[in-house]
Amino acid sequence: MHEGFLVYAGFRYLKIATLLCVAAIAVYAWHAPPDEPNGGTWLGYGLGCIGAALILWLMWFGVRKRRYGTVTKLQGWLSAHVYLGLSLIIVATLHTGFQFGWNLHTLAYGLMMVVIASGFFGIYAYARYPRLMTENRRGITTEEVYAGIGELDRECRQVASAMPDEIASLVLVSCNETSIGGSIARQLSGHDPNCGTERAFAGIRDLAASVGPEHGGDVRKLISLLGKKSTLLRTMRRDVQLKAMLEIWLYFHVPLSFALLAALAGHVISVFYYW
Amino acid sequence: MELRLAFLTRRAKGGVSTKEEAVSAEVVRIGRGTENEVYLPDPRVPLRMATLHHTPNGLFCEAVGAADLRLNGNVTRNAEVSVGDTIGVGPYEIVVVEPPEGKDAAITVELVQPVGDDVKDLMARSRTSLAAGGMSKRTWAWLFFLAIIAGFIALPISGHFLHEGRTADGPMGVKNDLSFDVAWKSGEMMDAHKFFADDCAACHQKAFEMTPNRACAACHGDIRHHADPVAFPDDDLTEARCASCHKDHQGPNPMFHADQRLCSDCHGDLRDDAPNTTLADASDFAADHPQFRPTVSTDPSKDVWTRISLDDAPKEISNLKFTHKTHMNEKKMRLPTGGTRQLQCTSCHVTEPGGGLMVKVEMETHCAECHQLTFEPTAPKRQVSHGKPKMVLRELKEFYAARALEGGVPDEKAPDVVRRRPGTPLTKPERKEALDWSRGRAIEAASYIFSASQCGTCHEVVKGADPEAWTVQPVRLTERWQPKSHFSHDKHRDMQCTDCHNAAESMSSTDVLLPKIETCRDCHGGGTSTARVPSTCIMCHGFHTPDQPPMVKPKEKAGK
Repeated sequence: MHEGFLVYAGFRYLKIATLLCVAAIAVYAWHAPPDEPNGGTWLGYGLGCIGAALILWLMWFGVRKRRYGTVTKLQGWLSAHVYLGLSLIIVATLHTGFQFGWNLHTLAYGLMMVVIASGFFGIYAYARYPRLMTENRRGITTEEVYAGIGELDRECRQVASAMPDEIASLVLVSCNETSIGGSIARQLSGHDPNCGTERAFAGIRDLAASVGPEHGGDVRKLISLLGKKSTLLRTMRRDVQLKAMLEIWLYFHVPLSFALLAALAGHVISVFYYW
Repeated sequence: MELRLAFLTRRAKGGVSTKEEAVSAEVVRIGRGTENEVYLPDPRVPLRMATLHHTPNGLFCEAVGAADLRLNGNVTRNAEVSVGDTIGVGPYEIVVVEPPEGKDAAITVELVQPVGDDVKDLMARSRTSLAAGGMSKRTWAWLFFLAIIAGFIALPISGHFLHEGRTADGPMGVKNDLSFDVAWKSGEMMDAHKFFADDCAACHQKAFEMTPNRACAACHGDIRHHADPVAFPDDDLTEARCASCHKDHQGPNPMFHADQRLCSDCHGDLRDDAPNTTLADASDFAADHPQFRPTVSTDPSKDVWTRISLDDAPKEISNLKFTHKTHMNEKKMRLPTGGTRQLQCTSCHVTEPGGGLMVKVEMETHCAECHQLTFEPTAPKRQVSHGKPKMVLRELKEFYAARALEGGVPDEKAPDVVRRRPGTPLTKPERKEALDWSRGRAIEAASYIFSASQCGTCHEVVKGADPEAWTVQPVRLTERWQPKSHFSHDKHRDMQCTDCHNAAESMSSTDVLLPKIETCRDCHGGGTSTARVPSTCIMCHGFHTPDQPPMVKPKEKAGK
């Protein structure tokens, strides 16, 4: 499990983030602004500055993780990224003073919450999917699986060369129309409802009774080969699915972070433009 | 048919290897099955694909299964073929060539579409990463980023610029057709401002400049200073921005700071900031507020009004005599028409429309039914006017003169001349006698009117030697006991009058029947009270003081 970043340095950043949240809540509870609590009081501005600085720093992680050879460990950065990112839930919510509306300001808040939620799923993904991927592969590399499938295809063709046309064409379907993955949805589903191999397997099984007795052995052999291929495909598709799950949250986390950056800029500009 | 069959195989490094066979058969069969003369071991080829016949014209090729043939690229079921023709059979090409000696025909067979590399093909068909599946973080990031920059920053700012020049004539009623800046609105505006809520520039007149006072002054130009700006020149008061206290976008309710700390900052220890003040310190209604100091008339002749604490038992010298206790006693309230009446507080005291102050008590409305200003027993309905003491004697003179000149006065003590038959003409001496009598009667009646049983019941009568100068002292009744605060009787209408005003026991009109602050505190707590009505300063006191000069300087107003 990739949980190293969670326990990094004895939960140092968890402690810092907790301290920040507790301090923010305490000051908010103590603070009694003359109007309703809102982002325009001194505490509102303060929490807003902390929140904006945190967002910019959290986004810097995207730059930092591409740099090598710096002094601080990337794992430490990730640990801080995770815990301080979560602390934004408290800091930014208190900054709003619980005033929400259909406007740019709440859009920025909403984007931030979605980014945090996707990041939270990322933590979950990193804790869960790498282990499932290892279990699924059972020590076999992707190349080995592909090679295995290629070998099975070759054998199938060989067996089919003396078989009736219906069977031979089904074997061709298995060889030529099978694919792994595909669209985003198909990758995430881990299945292919139109899998060539499955179609061939089902077709040959249906035809098994109608071919002559002289083909009986070959048909059984084909069915066995296609079964093996099907198992390898399932492993590969599961692998693709897990990999997609491990990655998909980043496709929300990163673009929405940039949307948030723009909304945050708009939020800050607008409140001072119309001071 | 004698056929020469040559299988061609192209080598990786170039060159062709040929494997020749001689076939002797009536019909040459082509297919994947091993029984075929032309045996094509590839699953893409049907078991039985086609046949070749020898005809006098050459060769005739015919498809036998479901699959079609390709003759020189064209799909066909059967055809005559001659030297140079190419027949496509699945992945194979069969070319008819010049037959050698002793053969009827010759063909070459070549696998032109060999089975590819399965693994490579499979990998080519498969998309196993999200990036390969058509997702790009960078594209979406740019798309979102630019869309938000455009929609929520660029458009609102451009709209503001297009709109900016049009606000010069004043903020109201100018609609911003391109109100993209509506997305910037940070919260609901107060109800009274909603009619220009879509015109941000009405208040936000210059970019990056705080809402200026001139924007507020466009409507609220007459708002007054809190304290005299000359006597108490405090920048916090005189130079304050309206919006520092009145922040909009905080919901539909009126926007002001209700928090009493705003007041107690100075008024908690006012001499620190204003050494000359006469005001007592106050910082919390329950814990730190002086006793009420109503403004009462202390010398009505000189029109002197004085603030006196209710703790110091103030006496109101109004020149009016009145006992609430007597008037609340039914037995003593005998009506001129007979019987008695129980008066209620509301018989005399009702709130003004709007519910703030009380309607003034008037003699004619509230007292005259019982307190009739009659003077002549033989004319019991005739009264003198109230409120004009200097006119009383004249009215009486006119009344009696008219009676004397008319005659028929039903008074045994009166001289004959006034008791004569009405209408009988008078001689000059008779006339003088009648008028002398009338003047005497008028003074008698005035003496009665200005006695303790008439005017003197309620008023201080000034009765010297000259009857012409008889009058009453002017009455100075208080209309607002506490002019620096506002109180609504209407909001307290569900209480009893006697809960606060102990009028039923009052035997003197000098009693100031206001409740002390302790009575209010039964229900009203301090600004942060949780067990009483939380009552901050502005519940009773306004910040802006009506008798002070306007806050916004004329120059600023003109600058809008």
